[in-house]
Amino acid sequence: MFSDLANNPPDDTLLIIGFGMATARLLNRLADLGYPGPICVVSREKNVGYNRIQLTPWLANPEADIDLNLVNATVLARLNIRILAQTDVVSFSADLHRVRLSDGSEMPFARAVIATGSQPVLPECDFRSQPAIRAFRTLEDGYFLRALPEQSHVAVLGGGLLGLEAAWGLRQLGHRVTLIHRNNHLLNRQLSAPLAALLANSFVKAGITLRLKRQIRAIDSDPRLASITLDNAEALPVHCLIAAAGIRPNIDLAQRAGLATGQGIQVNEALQTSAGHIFALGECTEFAAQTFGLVAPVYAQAEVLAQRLMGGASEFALTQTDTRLKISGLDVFSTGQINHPKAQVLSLVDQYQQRGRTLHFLNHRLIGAELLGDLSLANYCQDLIQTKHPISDPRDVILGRLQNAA
Amino acid sequence: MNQTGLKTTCAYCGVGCGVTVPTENDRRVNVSGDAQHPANRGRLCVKGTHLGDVLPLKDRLLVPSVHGEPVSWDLASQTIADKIRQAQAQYGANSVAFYLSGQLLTEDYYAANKLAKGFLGTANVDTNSRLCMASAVAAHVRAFGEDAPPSCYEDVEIADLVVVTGSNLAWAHPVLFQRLQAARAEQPSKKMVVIDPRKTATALEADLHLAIKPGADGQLFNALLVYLDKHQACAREYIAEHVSGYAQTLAAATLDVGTDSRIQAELCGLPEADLLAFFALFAQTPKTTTLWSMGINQSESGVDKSNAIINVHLATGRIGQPGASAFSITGQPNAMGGREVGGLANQLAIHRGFDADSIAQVGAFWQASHMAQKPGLKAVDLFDACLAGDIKVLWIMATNPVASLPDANKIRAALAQVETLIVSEVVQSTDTLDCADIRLPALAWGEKDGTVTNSERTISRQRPFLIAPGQARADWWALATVAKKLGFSDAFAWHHAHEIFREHARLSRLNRATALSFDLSAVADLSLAEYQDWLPQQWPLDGTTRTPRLFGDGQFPSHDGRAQMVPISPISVDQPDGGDYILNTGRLRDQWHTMARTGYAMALNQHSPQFELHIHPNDAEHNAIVNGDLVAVRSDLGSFYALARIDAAQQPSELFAAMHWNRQFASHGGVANVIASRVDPISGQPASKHARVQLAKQTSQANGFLFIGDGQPAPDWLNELLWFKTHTRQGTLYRFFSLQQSLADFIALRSQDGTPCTMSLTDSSQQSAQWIGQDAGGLQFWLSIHRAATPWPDSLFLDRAAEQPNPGLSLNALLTGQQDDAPIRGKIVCTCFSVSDSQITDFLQSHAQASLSTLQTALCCGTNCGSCLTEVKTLVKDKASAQTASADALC
Repeated sequence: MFSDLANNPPDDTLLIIGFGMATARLLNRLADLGYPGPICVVSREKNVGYNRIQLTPWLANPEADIDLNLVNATVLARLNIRILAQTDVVSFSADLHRVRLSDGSEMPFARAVIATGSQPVLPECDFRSQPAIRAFRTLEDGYFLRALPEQSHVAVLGGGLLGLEAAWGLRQLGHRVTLIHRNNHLLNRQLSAPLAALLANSFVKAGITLRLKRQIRAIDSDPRLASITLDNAEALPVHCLIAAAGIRPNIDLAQRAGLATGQGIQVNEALQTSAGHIFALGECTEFAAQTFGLVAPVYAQAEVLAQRLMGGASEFALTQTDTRLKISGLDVFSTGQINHPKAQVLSLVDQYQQRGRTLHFLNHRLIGAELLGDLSLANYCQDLIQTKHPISDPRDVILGRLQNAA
Repeated sequence: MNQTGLKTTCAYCGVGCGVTVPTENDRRVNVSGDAQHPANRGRLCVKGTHLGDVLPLKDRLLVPSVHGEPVSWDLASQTIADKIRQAQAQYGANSVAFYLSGQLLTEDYYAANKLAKGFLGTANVDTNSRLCMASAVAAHVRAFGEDAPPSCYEDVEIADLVVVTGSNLAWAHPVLFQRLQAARAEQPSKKMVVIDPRKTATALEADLHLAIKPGADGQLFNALLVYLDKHQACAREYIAEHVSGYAQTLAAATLDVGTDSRIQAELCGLPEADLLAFFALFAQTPKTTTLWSMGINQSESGVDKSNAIINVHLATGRIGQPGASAFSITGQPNAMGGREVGGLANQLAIHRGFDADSIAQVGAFWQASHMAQKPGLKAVDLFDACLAGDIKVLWIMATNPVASLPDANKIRAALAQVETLIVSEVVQSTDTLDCADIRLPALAWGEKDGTVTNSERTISRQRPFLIAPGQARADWWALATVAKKLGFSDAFAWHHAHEIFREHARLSRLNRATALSFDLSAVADLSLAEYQDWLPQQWPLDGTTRTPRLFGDGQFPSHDGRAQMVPISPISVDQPDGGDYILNTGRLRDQWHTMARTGYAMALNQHSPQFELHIHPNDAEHNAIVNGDLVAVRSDLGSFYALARIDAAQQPSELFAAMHWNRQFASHGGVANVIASRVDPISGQPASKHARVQLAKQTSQANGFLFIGDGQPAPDWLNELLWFKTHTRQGTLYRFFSLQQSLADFIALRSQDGTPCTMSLTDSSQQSAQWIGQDAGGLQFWLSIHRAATPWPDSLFLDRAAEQPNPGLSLNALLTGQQDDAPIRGKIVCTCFSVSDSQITDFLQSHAQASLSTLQTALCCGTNCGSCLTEVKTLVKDKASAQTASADALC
């Protein structure tokens, strides 16, 4: 399959497959650390290394000058780097240290980093022929959405972070937006019901239609997307369907290369795959049976991998995952365990000032915290969770009495 | 009316204080005491001081209605007239009855009495005065031949000894008490003896407090008579000339209590030394005035007890003398006026009974079409007749019998039997109004125009200074309107209360031919201008020399001109046994009757905001009750719930609860539920001071508070709970308990009520939860529920949040109902300056040498109306004795 293996011993190229946010962070770190060797980045996308997180404000504010670039020319200039955009890896041989690219060429490498990211879970239909059914993941998606005719009816599938952002952004553009979520409350990974309801209110107030505990049963897309039917038989005429109902790690390449995979490409604390010289990074990885969809652990991985590539001994570990962002103008913070079945849950909801707190206590300790609208207790709650500080009256925490006293 | 403002008379107790209102037609007016009024000479108590607080129109009844449908006065009065006509045609004259009130003005009372007894032929006209001083009235008639109290207020100032029995004068008649206290302060040799089972605010100020066994007052005064005779302290000459029945009375007394003071003391439950000290003091002090009130009157032998008091005064010639008299202090602003016109069923009018002459004379004067021929039914009997279905039309005015008569459940059942129940009221809901078929909006204080008579026979004007709201009309006008519909136009053609006053005064001229002292004939031709400018005057007003006292000359209005001593053998009352308790009832300092008015005055709700049951510490310990626990009091008739207040001023096995609470303020009603409708056989006055009950601590599943801003409806789920309610300035505060439903059930119930809630704090362990509703105008509701004990919110704080568009309060404050870091306010002692007991004790703690005056300079407590002075002084005294005790401990 690969020609002339014997004549082309592996050179010292570091091959990176995929140029998303993870790769961008890795390159920045390698530049900082003064990585000496040659690097080749192969990317399927035309635009590389842009900030997906800023896609929503970019979408919502066409006039605003939002810089999506995560890697600038100065950084790249410090590296010995070659970027092959709009290029796919066709086949991959871990043993032979070699890949074949979509342009027909072969490329040897010493070590490789698979950072192929993930892809959205899309409804079961021939979405490839339907540009109006798509995810909100790429700049291309962004351009498509920006180009929608005014007051289009858009359905967004998925009430997680991405779906909420997409729905909010589209609503800001003046579209008629329906958000469909299979769980009975929004943002169910980060928030429990009371604060999710508060968040839902702000969406409803903004004119976004919510369909909770609903799934799509059928899509009428012959020949063009016209309507979708929900599992309660409600039919929604739509011009566009945005799928934000989760992601699936891109593991095809790794599987073809014979690397160990589960949900994602399995890696150890050194981010090595089952082949020691092949690393995996970002949303395509699986570590300790977990996959990753948020930027913080991905950046942590990039940091560990940069150290490793420089010869260091840094190790990746799961840390408490905090969510801290702004949705629909509301600050959202979530940390720790928010679904422990035995936890004592105190929930403070202030609809008047659009703020709320839900705190989870177990054995007189704070184990999880959700904050909405007012994050003044965020650092305090993080401390309480990390230090396992004993708490006699949970009300003291939620009302901020102890914090005030401190 | 001079430049200092309009003068009127206080709406509350029988002291009848003059009040000055600075501006007219202002419902936020501050009133002050009328320095020229003889009853108070400028003083006012805390209720009077806050008269202006009850003027706002919150919850006022403003339109007539028939079966809930708003109607015109014309239709309402036509309906009433039709119902009266039908009932009388089918069931006879006595099927129609009236139940009136000491809150009515004399003119209103007169109109009702004239209509019933002169034109409808029914004497079924009784009044809530039956609950107040009917026993004293009967005793007056038995002793003097007429219901004519011989004393005046000055007597308590002149007296060298004042005996107060069956009266918490300091709280129930504060201004008279202040006059007494001022006189004692001026001349410390003056003594006060207080006879009361409880250590009341009055008893705290006594030189000698006799904590008598409940109900033993009759024995005590019988024993006193025996003592006076034995010690030759009786006025033999006076008796010989003016008094009948001495020997028989003494014999009966001796039979009742014997001559052994040790046994007498035992009968009264008193230390023998205290008993003898009192007897000696009484014997030695010619200028002795005995005051009595409901504690004597509300008894199965109330008339006998009243006569027992009068007996010792007759035996010593101390009747109608300066500083020496037997003085019944009436409870209501116009109890006396009602008695004058014949408001009681056993009276006809102008102190006349149902003898043939009186019926003929009064009938002729009235040109009556249908004179009643015999006495009607007294209150308890009247409602029993309702229950039996004998009363078809009942018109209740200005009173709330479901809440105030004993056995509330029976009264409610009785009202349900009345085919047409008409209720004239000023508020939208009372326990009685809630039963009515026809509701008539009455005038309130400040709107009414007429006269009242106080306990010392002084007639004063209540003058209107407010425009009548809505369709509210004078009660006499309502009565006259119905009378005209019945065809009695000529007899009820009045246009102004003045015409009624004059008619009443002219009627009283009939008494000139009798020995009766009630006579207003000197003012029978009073012009309207003179009526408007009326200055307080005591009757008799017969045109001869005025006298502030009656019978000082030993001449009595009886058939032979002599007074009568009445042999009495008071029945002994239930004593606690077998784990039962004896419940005593009474008034609070800052509340009035069933709180339909004072209940709306925020300031007045601060002193005793909770419905409390006072329990002796031993009894509390025995039942594992702590302060604030929910307790149930039960009798065979029913039960009520209250919050425990452990009180060393109680006697063991005796409980006390205020009579003010009813279903408007407590979901399950008040003391009326458990009191049997046993009455004095002569006066018909119920024994409301005494009920044998059981006590039980209640365990609630959850408890909490609900504050609702004015204009917000009360949620339905309150009906499932046990609650107590207080009006605040901006809303209503409920204290509630859930006996059956768990907190989880409650939360589920609450989530269904659909109230828009803007803030909530919930807890999965379900120890507590809070909900708040806010809008642009401020706080709308605040709900806090707990499984365990709940801290009290600060209603002033909630009021502030309710009136501030954006309260900007901390979460902590909104969810606890208290200002952050606010010290615990404690119980308000001084209502005028809103000073709490904790503020006073804190001050005394930090100022070791503080006297009453330094305390008052600093905090102002007790410097305005003085109603709280006893409590303030007690705190100072307690502090001083604590210091002495600790000094002793150091030595």
